[in-house]
Amino acid sequence: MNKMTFKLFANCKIVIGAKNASICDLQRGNIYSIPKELGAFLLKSKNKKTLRFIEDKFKNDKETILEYLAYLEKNEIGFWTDEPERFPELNTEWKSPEQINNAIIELEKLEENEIIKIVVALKNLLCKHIELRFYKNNSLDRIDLFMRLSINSTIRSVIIYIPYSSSLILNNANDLIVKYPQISFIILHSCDKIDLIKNLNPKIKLTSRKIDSRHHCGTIDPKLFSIKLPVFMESLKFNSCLNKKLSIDINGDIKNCPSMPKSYGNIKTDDIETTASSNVFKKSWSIHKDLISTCKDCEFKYVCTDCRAYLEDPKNQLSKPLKCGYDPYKGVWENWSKNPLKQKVKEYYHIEL
Amino acid sequence: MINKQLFLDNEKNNLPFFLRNYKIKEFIINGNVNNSDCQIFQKNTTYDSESVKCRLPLKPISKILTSNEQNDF
Repeated sequence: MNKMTFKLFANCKIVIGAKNASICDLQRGNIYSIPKELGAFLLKSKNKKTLRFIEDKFKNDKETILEYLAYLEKNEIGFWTDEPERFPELNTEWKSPEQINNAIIELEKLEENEIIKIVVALKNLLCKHIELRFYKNNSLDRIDLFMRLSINSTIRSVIIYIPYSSSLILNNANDLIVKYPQISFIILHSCDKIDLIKNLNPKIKLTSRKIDSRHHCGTIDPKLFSIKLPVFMESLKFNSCLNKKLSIDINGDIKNCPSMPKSYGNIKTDDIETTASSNVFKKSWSIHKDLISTCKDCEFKYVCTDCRAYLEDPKNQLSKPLKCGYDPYKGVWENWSKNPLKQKVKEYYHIEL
Repeated sequence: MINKQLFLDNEKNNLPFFLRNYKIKEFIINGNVNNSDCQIFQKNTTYDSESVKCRLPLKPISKILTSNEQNDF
């Protein structure tokens, strides 16, 4: 180890939290929790001669720091060099060509002409990813119509939530998957016969949970973190859930998210594209994590996908997501639903678990 | 005369998705277009979006599934 400067790879980004820090390896999709002090050291020593910097400022901790640096080198998060200036930072600018990137459609009660209107709008807005939801009744005809109209569009993936009604639905779901390759997953919820069902198409997933309303959304979970370069860059300036999202709820109301109360129009009376392009509709897109209380002190803030529908303080649009159990000030995860401080808010939102 | 760009685009659509972020450096045509092969790929060094790597969105559209359910899946 004769080289003087330790440098992180450009795709490995440090995020400092209140208690811990993290290094997000945005190329491999890994996240490493590190002591906050190490994160601060790496930021301060950036492009400096690391060994000399340690001798000058951290002489007492030299052994520990070098041990950590060896760990980071071993995991290919950083490297030693004599020419740090030759390894520039990544551009953090984020741009996206589509006007709407993803959409949630509660298709359950929509009429044929309304479905046609929605698909045309999604095509024109260059939407890529769709989630179709059915809570109580499934209507395979509506799914078939939606998918048929979506052929040759920009839509690349469709995830469908439908209730399990009988074994017949398995065959129908399988037929849909074969017919429409854009379908990524069909999730059959409210299924009480999971143990009896074998040899499923890998795109069909079963769950016994009753997903009978939109209140089931908004879970903040490390498994839902998206440790990817575009998502990280987007999260620096935009809301990682609502940015470029369009939702049509069960009544045809045009919203940012079906779980949010605010409606910007209705598909029966308003033009979807005009509504989705309006500044008032886009306002919540820019609520990034550094504006949100508690989240701004979290080391996972740029990989977490947030929720603005269920908040710890429903009257404050900048408060922490209700369904997040992480306390960045203690660095521990807890079951949010058992937190006594959140019980009243659960009642406010009519959330039953 | 074969339109090179059209030919490349068509070939690209036939490639498995994990190969589509490779830039086609050279192609060889044997006889007619239908029997031709694309050969020699050069890795495209620019970061490419999910459009060529995978059809799935980069982040979850919604957050309905719990941790346990994701384990089961």
